[in-house]
Amino acid sequence: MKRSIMAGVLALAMLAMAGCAGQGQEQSQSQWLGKSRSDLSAAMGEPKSAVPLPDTGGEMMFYSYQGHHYVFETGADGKIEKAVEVR
Amino acid sequence: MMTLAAAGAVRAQSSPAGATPMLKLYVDPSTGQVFTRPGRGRSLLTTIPATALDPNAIEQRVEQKTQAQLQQNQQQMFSLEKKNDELASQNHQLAQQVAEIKPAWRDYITNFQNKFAVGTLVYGDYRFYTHTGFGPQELTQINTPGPGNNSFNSFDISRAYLNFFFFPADGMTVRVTPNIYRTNGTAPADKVGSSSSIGSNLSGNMGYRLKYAYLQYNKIFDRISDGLKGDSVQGGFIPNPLVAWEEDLFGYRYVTLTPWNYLSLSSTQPGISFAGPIKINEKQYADYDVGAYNDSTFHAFEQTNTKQVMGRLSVYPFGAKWRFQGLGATFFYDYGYGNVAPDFIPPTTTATSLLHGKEAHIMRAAAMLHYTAENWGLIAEYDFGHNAFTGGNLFSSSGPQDYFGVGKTSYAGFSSMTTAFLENGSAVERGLDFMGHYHIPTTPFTLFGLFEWFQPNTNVNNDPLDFQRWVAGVSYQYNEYLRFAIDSQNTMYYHSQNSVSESYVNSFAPVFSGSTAGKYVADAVPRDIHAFFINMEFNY
Repeated sequence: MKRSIMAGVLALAMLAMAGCAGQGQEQSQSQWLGKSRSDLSAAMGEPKSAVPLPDTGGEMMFYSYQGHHYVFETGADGKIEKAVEVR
Repeated sequence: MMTLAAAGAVRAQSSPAGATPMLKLYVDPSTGQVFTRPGRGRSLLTTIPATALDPNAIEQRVEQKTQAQLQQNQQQMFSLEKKNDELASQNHQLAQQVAEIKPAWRDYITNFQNKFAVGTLVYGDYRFYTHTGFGPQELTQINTPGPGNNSFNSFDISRAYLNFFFFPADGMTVRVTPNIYRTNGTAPADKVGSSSSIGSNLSGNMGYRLKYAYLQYNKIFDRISDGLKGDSVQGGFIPNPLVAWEEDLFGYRYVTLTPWNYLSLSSTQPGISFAGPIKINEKQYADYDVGAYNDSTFHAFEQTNTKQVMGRLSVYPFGAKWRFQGLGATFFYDYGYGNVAPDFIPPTTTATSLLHGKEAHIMRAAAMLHYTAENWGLIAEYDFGHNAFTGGNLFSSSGPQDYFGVGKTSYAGFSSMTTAFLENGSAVERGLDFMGHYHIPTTPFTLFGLFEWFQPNTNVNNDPLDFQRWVAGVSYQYNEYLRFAIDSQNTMYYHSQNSVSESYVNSFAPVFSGSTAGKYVADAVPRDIHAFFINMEFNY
């Protein structure tokens, strides 16, 4: 039990350090806002990861395309609500 | 036949002075020839004015007639031209109207399409158990037989959402989502007539029930502050503040349940809530969800005269450009009561102590630290609760027949011990969890894992029901709609096998009657559960 707690504290510390190290230079990709998933896949192909969001009915999609990495989030209507280039 | 040349040479026969000169014409009936002089075999045809044969006069008349016809034709042409011009003008107007109608039609279709959306979310799996045992469900709608059924395996569908979204007005969303559920429970056969019977088909069927049905308004605080833009109010069968949010954060709900969902907290709750991000300069620094809900789950009848409140606050100290991005800290709190009617009388025994579990308060809390990057994520969670994990939750996959009152087995003592430890109204739960994933670069594969350690009642010394659960596997993203996973899922009751005295059990709740001296619950630590899963998720 004590070992589990120690492992947990260590993980929390690592998380805090990762956060304090700062986040990457994100850039908004506003040209994608309002477009559909199909527009996205037509332009960038298949995502490397697509996670449905059951509470909103939307989806989160992670893309790597031409050396850049993107995160898109759609709403229940399938339209892109957030689009960020992360690195 | 008479020619005009001959007629031109004709002079008018004599007639009185001043009178119109007349011309007599004679015809030979045998030949049809017309003459101007009488002769043998000829008879008078007619008498006509000489001017009738005047070529000039004839030409004049012809000209007049022609002129008249020409004028008439010209008038007709003018009239037709005018009509043509009018028609051309009408056509132009019509063309303009048609051109205006087309966009209106397109606009209608576009608007109609924008007014609703339909989708589905399906989870399927194949699972194989090297070791079966009593324990909670790994996924909803799947069950496993208890100990002694090694090599049990099954194909399942554990979720089949039909998502209907309607957007009737700006900022307004109505959602209706039916989902499957497994009907478990034997009902007696129906009698038909005096000697016939029809067997029940109520057990094991996959039925559809309502999972979500709510109205949401997304602009409730838009006028108050730009930072609260997009915040919403929801009412109906709505996602509670923790479970669905954490499923989104972890991203592997199709493989396993998140900690409190695995233990006892359903993802849907009838109630009303306010939720949304808090942004500064387009970056999200906090995200909240707070509401009041029925004490019952969404698939039970509400009996209480109280309500439960739940709230979650997630803080992103460095700001988040997309949901969950970067470092975040989340706090969740839930307080409610057991789902019993106000006049509920708890069961009594011959002793003075009572089992208070059913009507006791229920509290759940979670504190999380999480970091989410574009290709990996890590979550650490501490859980704390009161009366939030019952025997029904422990045995949600399967449990002893004794616990459910359908039979007497060698697990009778174990069942009673479970009831006493978990349902006495004073149980205190504690847990620690880790979840994470890592996407392998340039591949469609992602490694994922979950570890959950849980103590169902910290008041129990060396509680045989303490367990650890771990899931580890790899996911494959086939395309934007479909992904698969292969993983190992394990529930381990980690204490060494031991026996628990009945008198110790009775100190929590008087479940053993008579003398308990020298009596023990043998083999109190349940058997571990080990399985391999192949999971599928289809989302559209």
